[in-house]
Amino acid sequence: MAEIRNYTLNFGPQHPAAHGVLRLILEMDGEVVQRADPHIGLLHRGTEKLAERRAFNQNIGYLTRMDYVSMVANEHPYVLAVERLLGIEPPLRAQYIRVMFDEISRILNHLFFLGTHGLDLGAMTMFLYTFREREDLFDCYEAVSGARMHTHYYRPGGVYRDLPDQMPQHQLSPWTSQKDIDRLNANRGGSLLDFLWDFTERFPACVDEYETLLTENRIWKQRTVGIAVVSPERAVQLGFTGAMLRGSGVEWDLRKKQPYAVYDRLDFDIPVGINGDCYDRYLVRVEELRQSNRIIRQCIDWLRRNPGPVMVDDRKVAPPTREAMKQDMESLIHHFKLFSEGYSVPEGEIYVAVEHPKGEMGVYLISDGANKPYRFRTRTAGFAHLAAMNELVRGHMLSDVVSVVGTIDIVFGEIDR
Amino acid sequence: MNRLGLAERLRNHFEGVYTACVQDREQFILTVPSERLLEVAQQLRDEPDLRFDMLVDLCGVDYLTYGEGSWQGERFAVVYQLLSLAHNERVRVKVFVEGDPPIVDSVVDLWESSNWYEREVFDLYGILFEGHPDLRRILTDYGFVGHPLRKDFPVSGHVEMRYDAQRGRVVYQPVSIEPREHPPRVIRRDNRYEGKDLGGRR
Amino acid sequence: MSNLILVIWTIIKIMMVMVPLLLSVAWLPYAERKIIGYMQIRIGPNRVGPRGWLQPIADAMKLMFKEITVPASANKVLFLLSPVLCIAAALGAWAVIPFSDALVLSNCNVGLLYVLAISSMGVYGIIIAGWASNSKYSFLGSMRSTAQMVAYEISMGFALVGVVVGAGSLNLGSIVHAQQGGLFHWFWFPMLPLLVIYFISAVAETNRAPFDVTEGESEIVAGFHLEYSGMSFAVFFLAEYANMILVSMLASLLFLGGWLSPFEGVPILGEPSIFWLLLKVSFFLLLYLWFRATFPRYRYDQIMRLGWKVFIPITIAWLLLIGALVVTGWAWWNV
Repeated sequence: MAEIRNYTLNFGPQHPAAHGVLRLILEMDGEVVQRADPHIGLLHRGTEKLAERRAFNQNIGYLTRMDYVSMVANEHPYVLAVERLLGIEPPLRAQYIRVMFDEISRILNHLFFLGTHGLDLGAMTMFLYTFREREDLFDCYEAVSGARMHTHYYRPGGVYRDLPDQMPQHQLSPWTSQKDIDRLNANRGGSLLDFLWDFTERFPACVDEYETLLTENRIWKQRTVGIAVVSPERAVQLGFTGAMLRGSGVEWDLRKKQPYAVYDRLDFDIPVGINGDCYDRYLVRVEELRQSNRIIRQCIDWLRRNPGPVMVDDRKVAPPTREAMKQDMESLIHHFKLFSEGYSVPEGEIYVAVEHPKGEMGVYLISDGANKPYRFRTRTAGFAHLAAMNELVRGHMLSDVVSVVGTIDIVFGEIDR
Repeated sequence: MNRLGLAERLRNHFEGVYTACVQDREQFILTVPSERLLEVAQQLRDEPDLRFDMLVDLCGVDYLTYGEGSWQGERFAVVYQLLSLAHNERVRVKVFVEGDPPIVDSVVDLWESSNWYEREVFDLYGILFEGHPDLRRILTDYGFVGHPLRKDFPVSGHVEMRYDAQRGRVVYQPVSIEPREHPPRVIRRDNRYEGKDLGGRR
Repeated sequence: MSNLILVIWTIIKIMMVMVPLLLSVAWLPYAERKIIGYMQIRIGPNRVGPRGWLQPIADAMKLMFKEITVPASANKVLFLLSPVLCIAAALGAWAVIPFSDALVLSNCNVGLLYVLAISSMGVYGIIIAGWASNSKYSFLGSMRSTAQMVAYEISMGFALVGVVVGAGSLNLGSIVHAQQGGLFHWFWFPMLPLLVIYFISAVAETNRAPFDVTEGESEIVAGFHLEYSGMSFAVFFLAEYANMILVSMLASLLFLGGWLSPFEGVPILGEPSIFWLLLKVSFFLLLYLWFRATFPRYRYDQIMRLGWKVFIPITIAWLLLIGALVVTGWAWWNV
């Protein structure tokens, strides 16, 4: 008589639903998962070690690449940490711009979540619908920083430059007709804010469209309701943050509880789930899309009415203008020192956390007074979420592993760092 | 809500236990000796006026080259970032350790989220956590040697990988690249920041 | 001599069925990519030939010139045999499919039974493919396929029994004839639940979305054909699409009156024609694509639940009703 025993299944790192390089060792009893052991680190780039060797401003680029789905939001805790160590505060306009871009990246992130979660569960169309909207937001990134993804836009003391008055236009090419070009450029006539305003007008209808495809869909509900239920107590114990925590019914959002930047001046709601399953987390994120849209509109409104500086007027931190550099000796020296050596940050340590689209993203910075951080530590939300993988999938079927991988919204850039 | 500030409450509870309890830039930092860690952690989590029920982060620090060698005291520190959802407060607990290998008690029984964080600190700093159920390496490669975030570990590492056509597989060999540093590390005292209250200066 | 002529004539007839079939099998993926493309606000293939019309040829060329790799630990004979089994079953069933009163390869009296028997053979190809690949993913895929096939073969069979009872024949041509008399004499109307269940079961039988758990792209990567490449993969692919066309064809013959016109009685338009048949088949094929673009994928145990606990009871109940109608003589379509 043959002995019956469980078998192990190697899920990833090359797997369509591995979201990058997740390697799961699954112990299976038939189709039912008995134990899951995630092996991570395949995308470990040693960011924390590298950052100890770079001047403070150079590190922003590493931060952008942490969670490469919500790029610019990663920079926020870092610049806040450096600012607090330096004891400077950016101009109000810069803070509004930061909040606006944080929310843009929240939409980017949640759209990506929605698309890939749908794709993982077989709703392929979601992926293409959400990427249509993402494209517009990438254009905003590009307009403001020149890069579609890794913006390097926030700087300690403000943002790199003010919002542009013109949107980049689509150009005629052998593959597109003048008619197409006109259609594509239709909402690009004005400034970035006009373009974004137009987007926020359209976007709620797009969210409705996603919801008609999924929210009441029986198959979607069968695949997500009651999957990976986390009680509020467990969610806190496991260190969940962001939508994972709110999906379990814990009312916790750093934007409300520990406001940073200008969140205390804005009007928005925090959606909270009830059952703590995949479906609630999905609903929470969809509602956050709408709320982010609301925040962006408020920011646009404020930014239109209040022009002003977007960088502190402190030559030890912020570079001088090009014009000043060419006429003024001191500006030239400042520029040279700033870009060759950077600035020294007073001795001390700080932990700053922001509500990143995926949860709490914190930066713990220790400076010993040098021009580079002595210790640079990022606390990313995905790490804690993935750590709970075993608990989330135990007793569920193989197909549910995919739902869980989708619902915890993992991106390996931030988990492996 | 007329209750004591967090600093007072921390002092009330841990008077005589901590080695330092400071408030710096609106943050509370509690330094405790490693042998009292579990006791302090238990109280921080369970006392009704503290209730730090979430361990947000746990990381290691290596003070070997701090301030170009001006550091006095134990070389390693383990830093716990705690968050109280009930009181909306944060506290940072620091434990300094020395030794080869340095050993700290694991807090995995108090906060389960510490499981992977402790694995990470073990992986990157070589700090052992006593009582941890599954202390394996987590971020580095299978069979990796050394603890990369220690300050005496070079950024370029010790080994590199390449494909050996003769043996038909990937092999490790000593690194061939020169380490370089740009920009050089400097510590400049900026007189603008000397002796000033650093909170909220514009 | 006359035997030889018969053989040659039969081969020519087979070719007359097979060549258009294989051509449509080749262009159906193109149609799928285009239609789903438009549903997903993108263009779909548009590089090879005008508007991408030659894309299937490019795909075929690519697949033909790709190496067929056999995993080291696979059972070589079975590994290569299984695609053949699949395609043989998918094409064999076409022998008894009538395209009009006269156009039929073999006017078999138990045509429907033959179709059911042959098409359920196809699953052996899938099971053997999954087993012979010696990969856990493939094996899971074929296990799922087996369970799914067993569940849905029953509900599909019961749905067809309703048609057989209603028409009083197993010959596909006679079944179409039994539906003469206009739109409401077609079997879709008295047997609407059976049509719905038949078509859903057919989608499940052909392993298409939302029942594509045997391939389950995001769970078990590609399921049973995970280890296949080049032409051996292409044969599975062809079999899948041939099966899709087959079940759409059956659905049109059995429930939508085959080549009968919906405007019976109207001159010219009311004439039965193969054109109507193709239109109906295209409609069902479009439904396939539409499903794929809209629905998420079922979980394997939910498919089982749907098949055993929902479809089979409904079909049995409706079968009883149809039987009662026929026995009491209230079956208005049997005039």
